[in-house]
Amino acid sequence: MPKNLKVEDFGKHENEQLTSLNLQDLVPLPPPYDKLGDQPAWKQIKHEQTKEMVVNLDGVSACSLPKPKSKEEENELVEKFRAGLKKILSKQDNWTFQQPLTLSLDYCAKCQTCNDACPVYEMSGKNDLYRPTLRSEVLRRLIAKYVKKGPAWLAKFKHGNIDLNWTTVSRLYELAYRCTLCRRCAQACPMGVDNGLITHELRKIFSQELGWAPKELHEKGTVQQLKAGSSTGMTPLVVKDNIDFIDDDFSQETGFDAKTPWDKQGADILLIHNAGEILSWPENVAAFTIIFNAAGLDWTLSNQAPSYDGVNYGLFYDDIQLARIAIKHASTARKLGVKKIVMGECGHQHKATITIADRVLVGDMNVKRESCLPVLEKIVFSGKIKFDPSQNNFPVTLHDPCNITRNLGIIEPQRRILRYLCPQFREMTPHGKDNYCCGGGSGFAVMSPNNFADWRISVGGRKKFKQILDAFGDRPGPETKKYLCAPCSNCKGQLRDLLGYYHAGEKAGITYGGLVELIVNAMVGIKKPYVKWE
Amino acid sequence: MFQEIVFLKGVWEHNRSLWIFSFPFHFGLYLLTAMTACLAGAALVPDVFRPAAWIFGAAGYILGAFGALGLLIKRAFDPKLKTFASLSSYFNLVFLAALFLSGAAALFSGPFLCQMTSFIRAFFTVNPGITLDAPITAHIIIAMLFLVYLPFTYMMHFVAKYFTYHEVRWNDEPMAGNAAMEKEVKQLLSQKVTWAAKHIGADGKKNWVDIATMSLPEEKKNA
Ligand code: SF4
Ligand code: SF4
Repeated sequence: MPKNLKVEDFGKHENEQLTSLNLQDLVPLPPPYDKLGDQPAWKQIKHEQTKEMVVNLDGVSACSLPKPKSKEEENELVEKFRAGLKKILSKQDNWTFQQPLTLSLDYCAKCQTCNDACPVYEMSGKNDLYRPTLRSEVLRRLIAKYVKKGPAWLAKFKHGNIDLNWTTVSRLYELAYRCTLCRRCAQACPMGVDNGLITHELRKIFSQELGWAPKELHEKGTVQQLKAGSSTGMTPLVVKDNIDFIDDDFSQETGFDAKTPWDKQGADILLIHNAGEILSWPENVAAFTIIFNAAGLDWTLSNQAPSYDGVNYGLFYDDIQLARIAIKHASTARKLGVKKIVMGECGHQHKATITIADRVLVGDMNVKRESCLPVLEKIVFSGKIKFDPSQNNFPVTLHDPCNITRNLGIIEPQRRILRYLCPQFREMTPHGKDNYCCGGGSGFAVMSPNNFADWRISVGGRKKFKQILDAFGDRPGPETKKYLCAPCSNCKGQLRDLLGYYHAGEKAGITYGGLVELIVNAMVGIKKPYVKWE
Repeated sequence: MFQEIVFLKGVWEHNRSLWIFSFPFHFGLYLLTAMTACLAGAALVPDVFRPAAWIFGAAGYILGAFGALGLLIKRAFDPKLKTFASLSSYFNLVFLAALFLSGAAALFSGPFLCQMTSFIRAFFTVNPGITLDAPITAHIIIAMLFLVYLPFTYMMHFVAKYFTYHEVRWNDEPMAGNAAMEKEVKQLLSQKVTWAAKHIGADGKKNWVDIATMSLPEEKKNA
């Protein structure tokens, strides 16, 4: 692996990879994963594919960027990128994030203090390509040389050199998808510079100006959600059918009331799930229904597209797509006349709807929005439901979704519940606001094109996997069943793949699920255990 | 925030090998600011402020010089820092090292406090008829040049830090109940959208509200 990658090399040697990744360069995992030979081999991109697709970064392709057909097309795309660079710095075009972006670009002291806080950089074996500062520095130099007024020698003196060409643009696009936007680096920076935000803004140039975004986030994500009602493709009819089925199934299985109220005018709470839960983790949806009904809450789901799906991938790459979805969610809440929207267990939904959307929801559209975690905490400690914590007497650890903890500061409610209901609860190290991303952040959890799944699991999720194994290090064997609690749909998607990749169920006895499942599992009177171990 | 600014807590926690130089460097600068204030005070109450000015000055120049030279060496030889260093980052550190070293030379070579107090008085009364020793003159010239150069550098981060540290990281102030913010946001939302990607559907006339509430334009496949 080439160390000491130079920033100015970023625009050179078009068809060569800047770096290559090998399993032996990565930080080793603890037993039973300490033998390299036992770890799955990475999928390689075929030579045939590279004729059509750009693969000039690290041998991985998250974005499947097609090669331009001609020099003219190449130049046109580079010019578009340059136009996007200007817009991202203008208050009119980028009023949403221009100020923190400019501060982050202008005041980096280049001290590299943030580097070691980044799980991608650390676990890659400190590959220079993944420094939090590299893509920011490339962008900073491009702006100094090609956007800001002033002589070229001054830009070079102040910032160093870089060339704006197709190689730089195509590599930057791919590199914008090697960061999970977890903002751990921002937390470590003594200046408050946010390299995660810079990555986010870079993604916006590609989406909002060039029309480039991974299809899982755009076509199958926000576009499908705005057109069909959900990024899963579920229409209102299908959602209703699926949830009716879930209601019946779980009412029978648990003996509790799992009947969902729909479009209840004037309810206190409009609950919005990440619709991925309905398809992949129906027990999470049913658990919310059981808990809310048992606590006697006045609540409803909406069958109005897209308000049965809290997903908002716009958060990861496109302000306008984010605004479009958030406005639809808020207008459903306004039409129903609910007192507040409560987010289900989905981290990016929390961040998108609670804080980022706040700046586009004016007047009566600014409906109150709240996380499910304090709502659940209130229920659990209200005395309205009887619990028997011994029903959860197995080792439990908690994964902190970045968007809920570091980015929103909701740290304690989920812990108070777990300390009360799970006698063998133990923390990961570090945790809370210092947590590590699962590796599926910023949309990665739903992205598996080409060989990207190998990267997001082996590199992006490596630190988290190590943390999980360490948290259960006192009982590592498969004979002890252990529960990894992840109150976030996206994180669960990544953790499902991560645990599956390493056969952690069979080899280490680890399963995963949300928080509400543990709450229902501890409810007195449940017919049979809610947490399943197979 | 206080611990962050005075003791560089973040650097201490995450980058200790840099903190060894970065802390004395920054602390040296703070001490020199205190020395300048004491020198000004010495014009009025010499007995109190002069000894304080000497102590702050001596500690500030020595710590600052140690920090600046250390940072310069680290930036030149540590591969992690070297990759990102531009000519200006070396230039800034050389400039600062010169400032600290010339200050130390002036302080230890002659009637520094006396002459500096006279200089400050002369400066504010616009009195050019003042004679100073060569080391002190050199130091004053370097310090003046540095003050002129400073606003053009990223070293203004010591000011920006007050804004970035909380504003960038955590500014999530809600709009509900903040009429001034809502007014500003409404005005921002009325601006025209110029982003060119097809799915945006900008036509040079539609503003943010139009774009965010219209139905999605048909588009060809994205990359
Ligand atoms: S982002 Fe912050 S920590 Fe990282 S190099 Fe810049 S100033 Fe240092
Ligand atoms: S946001 Fe997270 S993944 Fe991205 S550079 Fe920072 S620490 Fe690394």
